[in-house]
Amino acid sequence: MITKKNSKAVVMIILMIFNVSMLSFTIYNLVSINSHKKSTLSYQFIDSRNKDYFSRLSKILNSLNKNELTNLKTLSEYYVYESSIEAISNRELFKKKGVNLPQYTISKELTNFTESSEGKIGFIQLGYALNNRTFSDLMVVLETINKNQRFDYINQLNVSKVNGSDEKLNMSFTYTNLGLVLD
Amino acid sequence: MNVKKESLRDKILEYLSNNPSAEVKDIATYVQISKQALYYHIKLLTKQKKIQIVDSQFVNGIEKKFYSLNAAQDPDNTDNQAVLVDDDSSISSTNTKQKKSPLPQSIDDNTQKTSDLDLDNTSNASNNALDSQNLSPYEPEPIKKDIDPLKANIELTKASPKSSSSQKHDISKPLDSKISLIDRFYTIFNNIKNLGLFNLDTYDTYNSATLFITASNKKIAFNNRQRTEFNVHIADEKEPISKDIKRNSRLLVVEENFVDNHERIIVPLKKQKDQEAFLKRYILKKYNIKEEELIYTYEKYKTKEKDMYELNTLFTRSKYLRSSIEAANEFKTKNRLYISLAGIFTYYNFQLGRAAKNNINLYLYMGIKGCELTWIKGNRILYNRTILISNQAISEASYLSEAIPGIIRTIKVSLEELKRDDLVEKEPNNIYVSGPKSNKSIEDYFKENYKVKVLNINVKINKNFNQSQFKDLDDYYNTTMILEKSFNRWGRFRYVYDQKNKLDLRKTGVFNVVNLMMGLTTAILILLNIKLYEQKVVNNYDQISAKLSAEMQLKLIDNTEKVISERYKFNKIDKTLGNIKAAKHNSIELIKLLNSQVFKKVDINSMEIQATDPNVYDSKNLEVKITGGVVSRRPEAILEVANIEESLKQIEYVDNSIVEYRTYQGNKLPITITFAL
Repeated sequence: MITKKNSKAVVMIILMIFNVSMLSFTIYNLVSINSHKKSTLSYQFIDSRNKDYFSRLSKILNSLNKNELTNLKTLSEYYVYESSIEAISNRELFKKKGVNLPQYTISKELTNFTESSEGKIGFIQLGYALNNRTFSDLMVVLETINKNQRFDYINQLNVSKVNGSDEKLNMSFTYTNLGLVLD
Repeated sequence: MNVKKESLRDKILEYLSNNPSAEVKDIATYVQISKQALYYHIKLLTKQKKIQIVDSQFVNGIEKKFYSLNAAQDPDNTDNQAVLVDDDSSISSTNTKQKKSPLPQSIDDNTQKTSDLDLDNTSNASNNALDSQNLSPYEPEPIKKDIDPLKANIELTKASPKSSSSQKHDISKPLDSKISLIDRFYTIFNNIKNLGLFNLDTYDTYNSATLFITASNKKIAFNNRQRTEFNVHIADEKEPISKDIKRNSRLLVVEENFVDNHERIIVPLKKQKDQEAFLKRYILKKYNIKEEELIYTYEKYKTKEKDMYELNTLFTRSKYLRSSIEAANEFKTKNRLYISLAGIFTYYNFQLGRAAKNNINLYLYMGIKGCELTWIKGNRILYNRTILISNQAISEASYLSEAIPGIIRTIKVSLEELKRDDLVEKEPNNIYVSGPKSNKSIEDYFKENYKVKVLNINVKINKNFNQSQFKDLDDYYNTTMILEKSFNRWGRFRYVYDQKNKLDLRKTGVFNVVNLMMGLTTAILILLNIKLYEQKVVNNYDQISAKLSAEMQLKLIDNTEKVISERYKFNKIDKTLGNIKAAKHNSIELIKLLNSQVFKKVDINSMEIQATDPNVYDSKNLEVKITGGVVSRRPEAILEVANIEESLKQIEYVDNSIVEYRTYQGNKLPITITFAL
């Protein structure tokens, strides 16, 4: 007789389902809000820690920047080439000073070992053996390298007296030349 | 000015004489002055007792007052009395001063002389009774008949101690200041309550209609819960009912001539199924009714004895319901409820409120052909009988002479029965009279003879109504209002036929309330979720911002670290380059050192100098190894070696100096000197 009862029960079920889904949605929202809050807080915490770290890094960077890198700037004016070219250059350099260099040996061919803002930095090591030379020849070699503005140096030097002579020396050295490397 | 004022007040009185219950707003419209100005005159007329407040309603926290002419002033009132007098005089005497009442004068008389009771047999005492009804036109009635009877029982008891002067004082106050805060809250609460939000069946009753079938088979129909106008539609047996009424989704059917019986049975049965089975068997056996004919409804009440239940049942034969069903067939809705007058009175009684819950009230429905007598306590029918008066329409006087003895006899019998059952101790607390044949004479009669409060609960009309219908309705209009009032708070479908239908309705009601609650919950949840979703979006945005900020910071740190690392490398290279330049000088310094006093006594054979490659970032110190010997200094050569070692240690730019010597080779002490420069 009462026809509305079933429809009301249907409405009730629909409302119940809707309410349950709304409740689920509410719970989801609450959980979501909570998790968002938590992660926001953790992000903020991490961020504040990172800011501290960054400020310390900034200080370090500032102190590093105080060094003006004058040597690197100077280096950018000099280039090193392959052994054949370098050998000629060396020969000519010492010839001017009155020392004839003998045939060279390649201790280390041109090698890139690092990079700067100016370009790649490399070095070459050529070996020379000078026999029966005087002390003054040794001094000329050393003085020539000393006065040279380039970044070059003797990284190995052996000097020994020639047997039976007090004035003659046998010397061998490895001459290292440093500079930018052309690609 | 005074003449003008007098004429204004005359107009007010004139309006009230035509409209027995009117608001200030209506009067103001009629006399064409503002409400504020009218309050002064109303107050004055009230003070002069020319008019009085007959009703008040709280609407949205504001008290609406309805005014009427004071009984002494009301010309209609005297007219009404005249009608009564005329009726009486047509039967008994033309001398109005010695009118004889058609009513018997005492209970004992009636119980003894029921068979030959007629107007001629009334005693002299009846003259007094009748005289008491012929009220002096200058004396106001103690209780006005148009006071809302629903409130009467409570308000009269509560309000009676208040003096009339205090009432006057209240009226003289401004409208707003009169209403206390508690009253305002109470009004708001009542308004909400009256909306029926807490009522199980409000939602069904709201769109329901009532069909009342009179003794003469006229169909009176109206929509329940009408707001502004109470429109009643009346149709003869064969006439169709107005379409406005037929649109309703539920129909409540009440028939004046409906015949049903009442029984109270005490049983030790707790389960509903057992109760129903027992009740059915009991009625079928006792009243010899065929099972398929039986229609019943019952309410369960607890008794004083433990585990015993009173099954309070109303039952009838299906044939008695046939006319109601036929009349209801005109309506499209299949959702029809059938209820007897006794059932309706339980709703009316329930609406009297908590204060009256323990009162035992006697309801008398004075129908055209019969009289329904019902004892009710709270919402429980204690006793119900129908007294047949006449099968035909009879005159007022004949009706009274036929009805009263029967009623008195039935009251006596029922009272004894109820006393025996320990349900009633004395006379009823109140007698409520209603029905098309109820009138002042009956009311006064019972008041005199039973010494209890007797109220005619035919409801006064406050609402606007269609005057043209009023003529057709005759005496039924007030009865109709009782139905409407009773259905205002429909409750738990008590005493609705039949039992199954009633239980279904209750289930529907539960569904309604659950649905309402769930609807409200849904609304709250939707609002809450909107708020939460907003919050979630904001939080999500905050989280994304915080995450982005943190990620940016991390990237910044990463970049800075890279820059630092690169810068550090460059610094290292720069330093190494510086060291290379320094190393060049060191070789010259070494030669100088070899030519110094430190090595004067050393014969150097060979010298080895070693420096690291450029890809090793160090100070580029020269590792020096000198081999030679100290000549011709034996044995002081060893001391010389020690001197050399000591001297080297004292030189600032020489590190890790070691001087080793071996055994003499002739006059030469071989030595090896190593140090860093």
